[in-house]
Amino acid sequence: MLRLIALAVIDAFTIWFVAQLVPEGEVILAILVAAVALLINAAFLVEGMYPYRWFSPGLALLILFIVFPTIFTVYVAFTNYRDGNLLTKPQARDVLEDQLYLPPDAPTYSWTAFRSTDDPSDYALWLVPIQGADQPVLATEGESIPADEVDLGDNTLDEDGIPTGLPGYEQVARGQLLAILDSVLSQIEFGDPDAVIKLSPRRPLQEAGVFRQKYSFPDDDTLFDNETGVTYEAVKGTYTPVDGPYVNDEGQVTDAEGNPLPVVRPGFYVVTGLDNIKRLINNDRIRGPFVRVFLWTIAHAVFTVFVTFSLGLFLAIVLNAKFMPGRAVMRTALLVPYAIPAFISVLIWKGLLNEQLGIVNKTISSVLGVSGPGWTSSAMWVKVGILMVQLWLGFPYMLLICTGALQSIPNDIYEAARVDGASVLQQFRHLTLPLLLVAVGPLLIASFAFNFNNFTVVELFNKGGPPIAPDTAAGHSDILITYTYDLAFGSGRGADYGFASTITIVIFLMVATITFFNFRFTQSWEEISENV
Amino acid sequence: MKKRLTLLLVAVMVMVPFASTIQAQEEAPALTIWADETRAVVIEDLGAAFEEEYGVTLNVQQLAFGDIRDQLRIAGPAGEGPDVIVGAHDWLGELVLNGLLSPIDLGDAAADFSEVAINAFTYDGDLYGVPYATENIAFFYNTDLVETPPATWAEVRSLSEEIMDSGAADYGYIRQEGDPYHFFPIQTAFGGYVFGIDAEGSYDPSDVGIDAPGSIAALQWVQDMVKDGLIPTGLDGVAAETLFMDGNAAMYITGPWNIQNFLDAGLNFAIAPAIPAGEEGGEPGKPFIGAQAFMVSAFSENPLLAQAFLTEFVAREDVQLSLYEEGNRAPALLSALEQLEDPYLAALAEAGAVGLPMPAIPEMSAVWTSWGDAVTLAMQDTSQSPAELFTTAADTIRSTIAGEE
Repeated sequence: MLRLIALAVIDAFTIWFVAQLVPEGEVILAILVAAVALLINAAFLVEGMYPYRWFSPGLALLILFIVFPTIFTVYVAFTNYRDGNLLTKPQARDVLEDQLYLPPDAPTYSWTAFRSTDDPSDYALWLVPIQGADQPVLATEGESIPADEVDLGDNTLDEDGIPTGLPGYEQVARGQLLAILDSVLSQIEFGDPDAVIKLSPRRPLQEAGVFRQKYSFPDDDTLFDNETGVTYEAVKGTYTPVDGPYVNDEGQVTDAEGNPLPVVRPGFYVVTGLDNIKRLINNDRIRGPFVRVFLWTIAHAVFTVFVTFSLGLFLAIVLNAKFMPGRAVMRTALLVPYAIPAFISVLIWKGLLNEQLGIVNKTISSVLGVSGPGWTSSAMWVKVGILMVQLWLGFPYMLLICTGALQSIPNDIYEAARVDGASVLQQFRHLTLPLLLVAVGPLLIASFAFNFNNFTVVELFNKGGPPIAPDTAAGHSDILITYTYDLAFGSGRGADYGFASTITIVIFLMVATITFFNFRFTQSWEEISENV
Repeated sequence: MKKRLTLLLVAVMVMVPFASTIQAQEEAPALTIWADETRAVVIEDLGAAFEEEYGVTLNVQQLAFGDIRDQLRIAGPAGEGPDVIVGAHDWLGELVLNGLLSPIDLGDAAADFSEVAINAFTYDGDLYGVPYATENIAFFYNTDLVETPPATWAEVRSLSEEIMDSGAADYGYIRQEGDPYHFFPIQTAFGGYVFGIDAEGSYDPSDVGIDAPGSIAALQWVQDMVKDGLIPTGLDGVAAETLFMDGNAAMYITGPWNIQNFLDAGLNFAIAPAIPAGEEGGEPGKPFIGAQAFMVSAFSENPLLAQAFLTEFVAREDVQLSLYEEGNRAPALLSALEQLEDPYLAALAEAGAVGLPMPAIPEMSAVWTSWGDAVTLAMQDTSQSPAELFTTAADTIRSTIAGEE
């Protein structure tokens, strides 16, 4: 029973949530949420699904937080989701429909609000002309009365032309106006129904007038500007002028002076198919540095795994030797770099390696008398610097897994080797290393895949710099993921999420391919262990 | 099984109305304001009286400055966003392009504000905020090492040589590597520019001046300084500041945010009322002017109230003065600015009087990248020709703006 109530709560919440999502245009997410809720219901209501009850929370979270973002990224890769096309179609339409304009001959007034003493929800505006009208007007809901026909009772007009009082009404104090601007005054249709008087959207306290809606939508993909008479069509989510009162010889829609009209913003995002991929392939400025960035990405990941593994293994073997005093303390101490968050370590290293003030270069110049390397300005040294930081950050992990793996290698095979007369080096070469790789091989691949996309270290160390040339966003130390970031946010018209998603998919395919072959390769190690 | 299903259905029917009450609207009008920590304090302090006077609630949410812009694009359209944000004018291009801001109109009251601040917040002819502060960089010099501020960049060079020869300090004039924002005053001193100005006084994105002769001459000057060992390489902003703050360098271009640090360090320094010119009797270098303002979100549920908050609260003299006291930036409201007697602020304002608002077009991120890379490369690798670097940068920027990507 309790279970059913809980289920009902979940279902009710789902229905509410889906009902919120669909009008926002988030159809994919709505379908997923509904599917997840159905699965939960099935798990609890269908007898045969009993074991899944225990899985269901985990599976639900997996779908919502892993599967959905993945699907969404793939989807975004085929859209033009970027600055200028960030909204959904209904959102863009809402924004445009809210815009008002003042027709050239329309009157504007300064206004004073009066509240009915009988009905506190009934208001009237006393309007004193600013332009376009010759006499004050009293506007109530649905009606506007010229001032000379208004019965003022005993009241008179003050020097600003505002009555000191109106029969049946009291003036709203200035202090109370702000609170009723949106919730009351902008909701009431003051004046004649065909010339509704609205508070100015840009200076609500100072001005009211017959503002009209600027944009209307004759059909779903067409936008009509009521002010200029120009028609816009949605082309790939951007409202582009197609027809208007002024068209030049080249067929462009122009303003009265003959300047071509710009598109109307904001646009909305739509599926643009392979546009992003075409851009990636066809653009020399983007594709040019791709190969060199790719090579450094591979080199960076390979070297990182190699140096961290080498040092980690060396330390693990040394600390595994029984004659080493204080082994436990040393092991713990060496794990410290692993315990400190990477971004702090990277920033500290960045300070240490500062070219002018860093302790490293100061020491080099005072001891050796030569100026130290350009850790941030030289194409080679910046890479060396990143690998040093990676070594510092990564060796404790390797030490950890190697220590574990070493201790699981049985001691008797070393005894047998010694009886056979194998040297220490031969033991390492033919026993320790192959057996160790069986255990840690998959972890090395995981480490490689992780460092392939190690955004934190590369971006924090030198933001991918130093630059290669002014015509490319790529820098000498950029790896694919930081290059993607530069391309998406620093090299075009604002942020371009669609394009960034396309590149991440390309990167994913690369990592997946490399990892696949790596795992195939490690299977050969498995054979070694079977033969021992 | 069937019984269970029926029961569940009934339960769901009962629950749905309850669930939907969650979204019921609250009665009292409330304004949600996104502000960074410095501004949030002021709004909370002075906002209480405003709340009382007008019967509205101010709901101040504190965000990191950059997050205000980034989260507005997500939260705004989703209906979760603020009514009013605090932000910088160089966000405008991007925010307007995405339809996230509502234009406002100050009418005659616009004349009460610094003209450059109003211009900075005007985009495509519409005003998008009530400015509260302006800031610009200027030429700082160490008064123990430099008696009178140099009038031209040639003098800066000879002063640097003098100081380094005499051993009074390690360096004369220094600058961080790259960083086009701090390079712009030198570029304009030599007659260079980034974007041309059209007849209406606003930037013309089709006129890119990064490869203009003046721009190249300025980069050449910097490169020669580096080549002759007068400006050290590999300095980032923090390192350059430290050198100047410790008295190891005599001259440096920086902004008001460092004044307090320098004072705390006990440095004897002054701000030149004009950035050095390119040649004897020439016009002084022009810094970029940055402006900060309160803006109205296009997705506000209370757009009129938000507009009224800007004119009735942000435009008040006491609010602008409090914002100055917390943030140390010159108030944008002229009557507030006139009340201040701070020699550093006065010198900054004088140097900034000839300044230009930082361009806010959406392509600026690409402009900063290419332009900055060219300046960085000219300093890092003195064998590269400034003319070539700036020509490449300008061509790249032109094709980005033309939409060729």
